[in-house]
Amino acid sequence: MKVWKRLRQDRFSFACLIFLGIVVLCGILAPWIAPHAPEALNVKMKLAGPSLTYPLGTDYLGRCILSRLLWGIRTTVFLSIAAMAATILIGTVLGILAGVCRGWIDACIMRVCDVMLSFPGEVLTLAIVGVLGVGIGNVIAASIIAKWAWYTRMVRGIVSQYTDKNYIRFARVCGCSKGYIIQKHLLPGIAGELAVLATLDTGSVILNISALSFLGLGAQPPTPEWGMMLNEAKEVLITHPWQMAAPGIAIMAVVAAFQFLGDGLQAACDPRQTGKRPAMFLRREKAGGKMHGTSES
Amino acid sequence: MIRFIAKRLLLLIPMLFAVSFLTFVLVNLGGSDPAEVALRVNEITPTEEAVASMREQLGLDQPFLRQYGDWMLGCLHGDFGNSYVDNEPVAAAVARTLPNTLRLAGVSLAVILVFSVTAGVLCAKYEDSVGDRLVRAFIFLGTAMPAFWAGLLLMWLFAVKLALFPTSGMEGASSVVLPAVTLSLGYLSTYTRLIRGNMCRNSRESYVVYLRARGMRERTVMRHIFKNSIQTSLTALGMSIPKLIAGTVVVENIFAWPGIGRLCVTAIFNRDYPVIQAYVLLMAVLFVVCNTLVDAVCMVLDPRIRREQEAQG
Repeated sequence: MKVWKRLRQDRFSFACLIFLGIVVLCGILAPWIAPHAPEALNVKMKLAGPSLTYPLGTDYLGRCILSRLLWGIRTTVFLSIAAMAATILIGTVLGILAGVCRGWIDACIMRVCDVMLSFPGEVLTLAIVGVLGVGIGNVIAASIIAKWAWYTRMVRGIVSQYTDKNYIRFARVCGCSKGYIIQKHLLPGIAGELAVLATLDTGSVILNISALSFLGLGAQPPTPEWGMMLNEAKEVLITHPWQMAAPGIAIMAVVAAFQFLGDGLQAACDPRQTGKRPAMFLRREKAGGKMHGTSES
Repeated sequence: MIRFIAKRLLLLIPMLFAVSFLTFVLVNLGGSDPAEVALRVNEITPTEEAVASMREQLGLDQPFLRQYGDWMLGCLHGDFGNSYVDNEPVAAAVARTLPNTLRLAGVSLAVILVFSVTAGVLCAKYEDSVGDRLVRAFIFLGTAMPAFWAGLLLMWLFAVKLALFPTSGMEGASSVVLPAVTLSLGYLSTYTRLIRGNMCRNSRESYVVYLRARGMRERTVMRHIFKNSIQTSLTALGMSIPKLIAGTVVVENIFAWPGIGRLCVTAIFNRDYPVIQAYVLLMAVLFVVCNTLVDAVCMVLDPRIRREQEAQG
């Protein structure tokens, strides 16, 4: 609860949280608040500018851009969040398994992770989409497959950090079962760091999924998806350049909000590192200790 | 130290095998039968006979490990098989497109190096000034902006409105500008932030205080800080070279750049498995080799890492 309190004090992060909440709400309520059906064509009004009936204008088939944007929240944002949730679930389960059991289970999981991580994520996603075929479901699957190994390794790292802590040794000496230790001691410890990572990463998942849809590998028409809307806007770039404004701004705003929120969450979870706005003239003054240790590796 | 680098290089071999095996398995796990796909692509109705003869022709009737062995041997000889679509050797298509991609990635790398180092150093030097804040705002825009949108905006502004550069294709030197800038935007913000952060952190270290106490000129102090903070940034940059090359996919498709990323996307649409396989393998090998090289360079440059490694080994 302390985290929540600190997050509320950080006005900017809190604003991002509220913004994301509104976006999610709009996505849920899309069928009721969207002025038109996202697939409803009106060829007479194609590429029209903003008007009362079409607040953001229409696209090249005369579909309402605002409605497509709102329905697109379901594809772009919801599916990205779902992909992230699945990735974290897999990563946490395998990571804890590897970190707690050690031995050959650990070795097996980690070697598989090593191989998975030797591919650049983008290439792995492309490869999986190439194999499974084009479609938004496959893109989501690819994004999960490309990311789970990274989270598994991360969680295992955190777990092995915690297992040497005295309170967990104490719990073990007291005869607590493994399940109890995981549930009571490990999970709460991991949750904070995972929440930060996941929030920061959700933005990049949104970027990835919309990029693949932009290439035509993800969502297929007529499903409304922000990346695909940009792809359609590209076709009329020269004659109607404002077509690409709405989906682009939407993606950027949501991704930026996730990033700011992630940064805020990090500061709220670990206030010791709150060197957010470094004092202005520190450079001239005596150096006050090292910031986070010297090497990044 | 040479021993440790040699060890890393030896470790590369099983790694490369694992990577190539995974590539092969990935493509063969796909839901559809490659033989059927190969027939469909050429608009032949996949009758049972046709599929069977195609399987034989493609060597798909062999046991799985044998197939992998044959494919691997071929790859080692630079033979990635033939494309299902036009029967052109994949190696030829790769040889045609890869240089274009490398050129694009090379120009982007130069852009990233020049601009991120300049911006990072200047920002650290004038920390919290108006310019620094502007650059930081730009950094945030750069990380949150989808590359394809940035590309479209650049295309609209510079190619359509101002007509300074061609919208797409690869004719003349000016056509590389827009794709390269688009490609470097995301990295530019990452590395500017990294270098700026490193510089700021290093300038609070005690050796800087010592240098100042000795009455060194500001320029000398800056030189020391710069030298110390640039190392980690350069290794990070080295690690992202393969990412940069792999990341050209989107940019190449926006600007119709005839590179390997575009080849791969076309292959995905056509379900042209040999091309996809070759692309994935090439990128993975590039990634693994680059990482090892960067590690080695890192060890040569930074005695702290060297000691750590030697303590472990």
